[in-house]
Amino acid sequence: MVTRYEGIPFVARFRWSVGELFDEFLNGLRNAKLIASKCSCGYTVLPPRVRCPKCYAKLSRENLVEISGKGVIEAYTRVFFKLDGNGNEIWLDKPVTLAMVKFEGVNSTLVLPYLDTEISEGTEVEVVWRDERSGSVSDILGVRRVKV
Amino acid sequence: MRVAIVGYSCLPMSRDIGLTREESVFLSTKMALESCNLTRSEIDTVVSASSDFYDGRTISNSMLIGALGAYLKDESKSEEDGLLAVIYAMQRILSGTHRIALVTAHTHSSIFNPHQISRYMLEPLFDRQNELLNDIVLSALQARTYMRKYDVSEEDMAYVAYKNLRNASKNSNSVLKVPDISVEEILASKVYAEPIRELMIAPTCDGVASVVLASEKVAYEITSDPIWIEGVGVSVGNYFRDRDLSKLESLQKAAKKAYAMAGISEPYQELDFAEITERFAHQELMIYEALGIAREGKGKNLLNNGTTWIDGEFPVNPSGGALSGDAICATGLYRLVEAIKQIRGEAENQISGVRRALVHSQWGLVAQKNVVLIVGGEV
Repeated sequence: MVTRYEGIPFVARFRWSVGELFDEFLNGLRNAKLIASKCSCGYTVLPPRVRCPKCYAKLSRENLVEISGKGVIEAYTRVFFKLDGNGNEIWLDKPVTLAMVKFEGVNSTLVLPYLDTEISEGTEVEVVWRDERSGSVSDILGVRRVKV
Repeated sequence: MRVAIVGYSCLPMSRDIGLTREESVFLSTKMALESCNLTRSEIDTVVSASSDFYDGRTISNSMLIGALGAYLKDESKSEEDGLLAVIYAMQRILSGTHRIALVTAHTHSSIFNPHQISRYMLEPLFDRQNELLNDIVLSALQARTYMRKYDVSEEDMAYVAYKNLRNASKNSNSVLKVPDISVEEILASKVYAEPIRELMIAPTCDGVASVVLASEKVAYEITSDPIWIEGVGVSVGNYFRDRDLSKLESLQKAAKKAYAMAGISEPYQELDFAEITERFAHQELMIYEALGIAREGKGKNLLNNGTTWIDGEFPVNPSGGALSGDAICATGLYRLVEAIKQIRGEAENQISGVRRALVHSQWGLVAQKNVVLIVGGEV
């Protein structure tokens, strides 16, 4: 076994510009609204992007649409671990269910925590919002089953 | 003009190779040159593959120039998988400006956990904010999507790992050696994210591999047994949130290009075996389908009826594949080295009478980018 040099801790606080459409998405979150961008080709992406991932068209504020916040679970997984940032596996006390959701009127998917217990593909869900919202992605707590 | 592979080498993969990056790259380079009796001065161009993030340093090739014997030579690095470096080196030879190229790829996973680095591939503004997301969790969502659509079971996934680990037990390069493993033990291994269990995840490790390429003109001066690169294809798909996770569309495209270049119309008939990069067990079945050796949704049949086993009609991963050792940037070259050995009849888990192989590697989250090579010996 050879000696391991631990190195100088490398902490990079990256400061990305989010772009004007993502800014509108964050503003929407503050008001418990989901804002997506809808391209003239028909493809709708959430969160919004400035380029359509299907046809490469430029998207601007005119392409922003509010979506219902209701959707369907396409796939899900119960997750038993996370990584601590330093490469160590942390085993969760209790597994967390993540759901890949396709929201009404949206073509892309979003992976979010599922807050109920019973789950299957095709389950209809809705967004659960944090009460005190700050205009950040953590304003979305996850999704839960739509009560019928 | 054609391009041939005239030499190769790899170090046995290891959880901790116990050598510095420089030393292990040097050893692989030296062995590759010795394998075809070339000296450093005869190499015209050097292309390496490594990754800054995995190596924990920017310009990861900087201190490797000496180890590659590349001082004052034409040298450059291809990020990502080593098969991309092979294609790059091949293009340099085809351009007519170089005759002989050295390609070396390495990753030392013992430096830093590659699964942690997978989080840096995530879109940073939304996806990376979710601390539970990483490559393993996304592969679980991919597996579920595929399994539900085509009625694939966890037993099928475990059976992929079982086949590959059995092959791996005969390969001295593999890192995961469990010759007596059973399907039940694979299904009882630790769950990371359902349905993905520990033995269905390619074990990240340290590894270095190299190949020497030569133009058709000089290939026969170097070896009597050149392996020709008959076809290549590369394609990259959308980010995982913008594509159908039940299939590998970019691999379909990459394979199609490689088949067209190699003049192959019936891959199942015209190829003898394949060495592929299945980072997670279910991906092997998806890869069969994308390569066109199984029909859509029928990948599991090839596994369950024995076709892709070592004694089957179309063996896949006689080496044990990525599930027996994944040295990230070098994984494509380990696949290629196994294919060369099989064609030359030098493999440890030898398939008899094989001439032409498909070699595959992937890069990115849930196989976003795919690379295919068709290689063959003399007709």
